[in-house]
Amino acid sequence: MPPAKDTKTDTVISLTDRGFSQIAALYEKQRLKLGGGRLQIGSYLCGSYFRALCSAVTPAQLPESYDLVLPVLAQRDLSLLEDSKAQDLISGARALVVNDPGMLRRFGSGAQVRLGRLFFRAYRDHRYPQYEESASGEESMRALVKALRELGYHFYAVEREAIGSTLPSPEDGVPVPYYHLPYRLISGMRICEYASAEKAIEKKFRPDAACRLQCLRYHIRYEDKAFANAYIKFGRGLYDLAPRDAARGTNLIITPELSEDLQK
Amino acid sequence: MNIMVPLASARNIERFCQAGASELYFGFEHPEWNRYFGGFAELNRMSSFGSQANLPYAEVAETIKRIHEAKAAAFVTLNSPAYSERQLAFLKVIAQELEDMGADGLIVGSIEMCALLQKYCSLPLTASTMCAVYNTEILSFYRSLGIKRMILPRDLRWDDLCAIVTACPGIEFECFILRNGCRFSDANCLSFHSRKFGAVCCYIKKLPAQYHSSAQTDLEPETKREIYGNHFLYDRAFHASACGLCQVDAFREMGICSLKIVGRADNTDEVVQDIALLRRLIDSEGTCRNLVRNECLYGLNCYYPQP
Repeated sequence: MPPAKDTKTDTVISLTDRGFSQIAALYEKQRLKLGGGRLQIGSYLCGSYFRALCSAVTPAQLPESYDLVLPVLAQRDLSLLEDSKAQDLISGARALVVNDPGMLRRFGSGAQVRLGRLFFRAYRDHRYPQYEESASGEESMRALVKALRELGYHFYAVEREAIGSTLPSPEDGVPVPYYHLPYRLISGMRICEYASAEKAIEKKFRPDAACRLQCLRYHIRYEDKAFANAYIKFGRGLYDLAPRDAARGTNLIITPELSEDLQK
Repeated sequence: MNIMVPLASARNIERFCQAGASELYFGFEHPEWNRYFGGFAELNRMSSFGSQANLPYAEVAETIKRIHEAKAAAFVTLNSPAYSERQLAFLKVIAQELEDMGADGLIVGSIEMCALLQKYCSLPLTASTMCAVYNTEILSFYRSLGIKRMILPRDLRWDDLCAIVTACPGIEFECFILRNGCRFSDANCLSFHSRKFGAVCCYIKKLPAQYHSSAQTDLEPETKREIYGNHFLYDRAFHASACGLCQVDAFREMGICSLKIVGRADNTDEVVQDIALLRRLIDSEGTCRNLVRNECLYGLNCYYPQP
């Protein structure tokens, strides 16, 4: 695996949880729009999507340099990591994005590992502007990074959500963070509403249920006019909109707007 | 098998224990915490519920003493999802005080808290649902920090739960039962749960929902009907409450250490009823086959439906 470059303004184009046939074209479109950027695929939250991705996509179909996001896997999905197709995707990735300490423990010694957004656990809540103006989440991130390093874990970067619009200054010893835009992860769920569509009532709303990736066909948006924001339920995540001014001039992970998905 | 119940007021200790509880857990409010760290800093996951769900710190020592007199064990929760280094330094002192007071264990919810207490506190640690122990790889991480008791998340598939328990002898497991279901994943739900606007899962139900197709052509009418109907059930019926009594027998066979009833901010009389019901079922070695409760309907309120 080629070593990751630690640049100050790295841009990643995140196509996690997007239709497989769309990845190449969406990536190209966004790369032209942004003037560059590296591809990221996989999923932060969904083992079902990740399993299907491993079957559908090979490294040969991807740009030379891509990051792979590993979700928090269900117990029975751990065996997926031994699958040759998954291993091809993993070994071909420039960086692995892990989202739980189990995967950090598994991949953290030698691979180029980035702590994914699920490690960042400061509250984010646009319903409380006073909180958003006063908090940044930086202190808790620093405490986590310190604890993990003292335990002997290695990672080259951390991901985080933008809280408020004030960016803390980078400090020595703390990895420069990658900020997610424009969607902030508010909550995740292992009981997927979309996976239950077209199932009998007695089989609905099961954790980590098998599905036909219904989430790729539609999503739900809740307008929160009182706070000039919205919640978007996309895949197994509930997101809101990050502050528009946040995270300029730093490493970014850009998720193309859902309305930009291409015609099937 | 123990019954672990939430305590929001010391006056409930004897009632809960007489009903059948053998382990009690509680959180506390500390007078200096918000002064040092601001009004939004959460000492535990339910700090925002204030005195509705937390004891005053000044009463903690006496509470632990009374719990022991009632022949039960006392666990204290320090399970916020994240802490700063200054907050950790503050809670390190608190943890040592709790050890001196005779607490039986601490419930922790973050890696940095686990790492700190492993070094500076001898009390047994329990990995909260906030630690998201969804598989044995994650369990192994916390085990490497010396944690020997884990609360399994309430959104775990039944067969995955069985596999994790079976694969890890030597670990004590707590499983959720009864009362409040949660459609989202505790560990990754990172907006405020109380305060003025309540939990986001309830908040969004009041907002207008729009369905957006990913394709530029619209969804078929039949698909739309299915989606709308599915959403209606998800919003109105799914986890309106939560049960799981049907699996008490299986928990006993697997050797689950404790069944955890949540609801620190809930009505005391209802919690007492649930404790007594669960104790009867455990002691009679019976199995609930929808004879006791009627929430089973279609499994929409079951913590542990079969996959």
